[in-house]
Amino acid sequence: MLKIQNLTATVDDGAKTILNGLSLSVPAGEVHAIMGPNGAGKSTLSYVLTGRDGYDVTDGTVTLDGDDLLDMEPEERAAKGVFLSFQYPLEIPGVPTLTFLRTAMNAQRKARGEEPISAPDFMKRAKSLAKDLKIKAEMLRRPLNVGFSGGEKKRMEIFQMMMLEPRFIVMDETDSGLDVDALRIVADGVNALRSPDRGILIITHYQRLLDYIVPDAVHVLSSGAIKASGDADFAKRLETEGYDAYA
Amino acid sequence: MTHMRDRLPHKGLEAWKWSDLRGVVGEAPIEGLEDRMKLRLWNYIDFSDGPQPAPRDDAMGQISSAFGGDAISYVVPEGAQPESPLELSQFSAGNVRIRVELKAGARLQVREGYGTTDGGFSNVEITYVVHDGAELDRIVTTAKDIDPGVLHVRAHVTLWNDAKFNQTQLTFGGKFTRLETRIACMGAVEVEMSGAYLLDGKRHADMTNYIDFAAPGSTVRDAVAGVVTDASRGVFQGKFHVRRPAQETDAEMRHDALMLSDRAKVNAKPELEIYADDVECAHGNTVGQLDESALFYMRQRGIPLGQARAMLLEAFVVARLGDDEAMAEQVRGWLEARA
Ligand SMILES: Nc1ncnc2c1ncn2[C@@H]1O[C@H](COP(=O)(O)OP(=O)(O)O)[C@@H](O)[C@H]1O
Ligand SMILES: [Mg+2]
Repeated sequence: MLKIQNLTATVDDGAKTILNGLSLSVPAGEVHAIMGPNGAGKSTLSYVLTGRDGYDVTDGTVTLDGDDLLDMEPEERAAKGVFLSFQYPLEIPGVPTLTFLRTAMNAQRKARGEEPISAPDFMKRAKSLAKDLKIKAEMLRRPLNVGFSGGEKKRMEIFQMMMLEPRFIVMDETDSGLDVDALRIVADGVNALRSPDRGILIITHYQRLLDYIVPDAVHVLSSGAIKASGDADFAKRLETEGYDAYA
Repeated sequence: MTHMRDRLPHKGLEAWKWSDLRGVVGEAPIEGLEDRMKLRLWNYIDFSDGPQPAPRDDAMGQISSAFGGDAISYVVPEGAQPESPLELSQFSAGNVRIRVELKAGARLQVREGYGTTDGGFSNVEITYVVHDGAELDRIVTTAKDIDPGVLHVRAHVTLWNDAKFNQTQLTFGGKFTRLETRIACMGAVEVEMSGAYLLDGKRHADMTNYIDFAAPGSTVRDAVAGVVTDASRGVFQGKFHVRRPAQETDAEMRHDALMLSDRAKVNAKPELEIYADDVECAHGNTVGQLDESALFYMRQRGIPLGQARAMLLEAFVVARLGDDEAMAEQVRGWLEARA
């Protein structure tokens, strides 16, 4: 499904190389985890995959189902089904959460040549998902993420993810800042989305999320490249042993 | 009448340094009303004719009395609260003076809509006297798709005890547009002012608000938002002048502008001059750009760049402009055409 080959990316007009020949494949139906020390390039990978400005890809390829992702605008990638749960979700002043989400959903549908979702269908789905995620209706009327706590923002990322039903999901440290209850809610949401035609890439610092979402593979990202891979138990070893061996 | 040009205020004067009226007028004819002003009353209100406004001795005041002739003057009787607004519209060139007086307890909404003709010169002096307990809603818009000319509108608002004044202004600028509001708070009054300017091309708009506090206990909120693109220029000047007797004044002024182009300009001067000691006065001023990371976030969710920009801008303007749906619609139209 997602194929990254020899991805090399720089910032500051090439002055600094952050991703350095990174290769990784996530087949459809699988959940992969990326772990690694601070500053390894994990968030950078999530931004390069989604097309944020400021990064120059100087080598390598990224394809989703064979289509060249790097050639697309961020909104085109989103319409193709790429979703990023941000490490630091942005505040969107003045735009109510539901207005934002409905606009996003219909923009994606339009780009795919589909009909817009009807207001009643949208509301029905939003209400039932909000209930599952323990998000109050009042919060959905507030401007997106404005004044939300760290945990609320993360939960709102999952809410958007479940509403949009993306085909390929990147989660960047969605677990940091969540208490155990919230972690379980988030994990239930992600597990509900596991399906044979969907791929999920979970970036995390802590093994604890992977107790709830058991990955098919775990990779170590260090100094801008994948240095080692293993199964779910590998994550447990990494947590106790640290990343020194992969520097 | 080209000699009149030499009387016009110019950029050498502090209050006009960013809005050089003399420089812009050129050969535009300065003329009288010539039946181009219409005062529309949508339902019958028993207005009586009012007195002439006091003469004003500055250049713009002199020009409007010299060329505008007698002022149009109305009085809203004590306690009268007509349901329909007084509409002043279809004015596109010339000089005019207007005076509207609200007797005690009266309530009125006035909708002023101005335009200009290409190369035209429009000059409006409007005086409002709002007596005890009366309430005036003033809504000012300038035409969106006009041949840009020169438009100068100055309102003199005198508020007596317990009066309320709510003002909303929206302009898309012109060759030269200045909307000036001068308020005298003569008793404990409540004032809510909001304004927005949206400018493109080489358009210019100036919102100048001067508020003079002469008595204790007034509350004033003044918020102006600006969006400038291309090589346009937005100007905000705001001043609170709190005299010694005006204790317990509670006044806040904000100006926030977004620049969408390097060639656009915003000049802002918020000022406080305070002689009373027990007051709460604040001002804030920001000039910035759209938040790039918020834009990326929106695009990551599938919203195309142009639409994302328009959404953030609309939220920015409408949050400050209040909930007048017709105005919000105009703002939306302008943004969508330019996003
Ligand atoms: N836009 C940028 N400009 C300069 N340096 C950057 C930029 N983005 C990331 N970096 C640097 O690249 C490295 C990797 O950052 P990041 O991808 O955020 O790491 P991680 O998410 O793994 O903690 C860090 O040293 C960071 O300071
Ligand atoms: Mg990170």
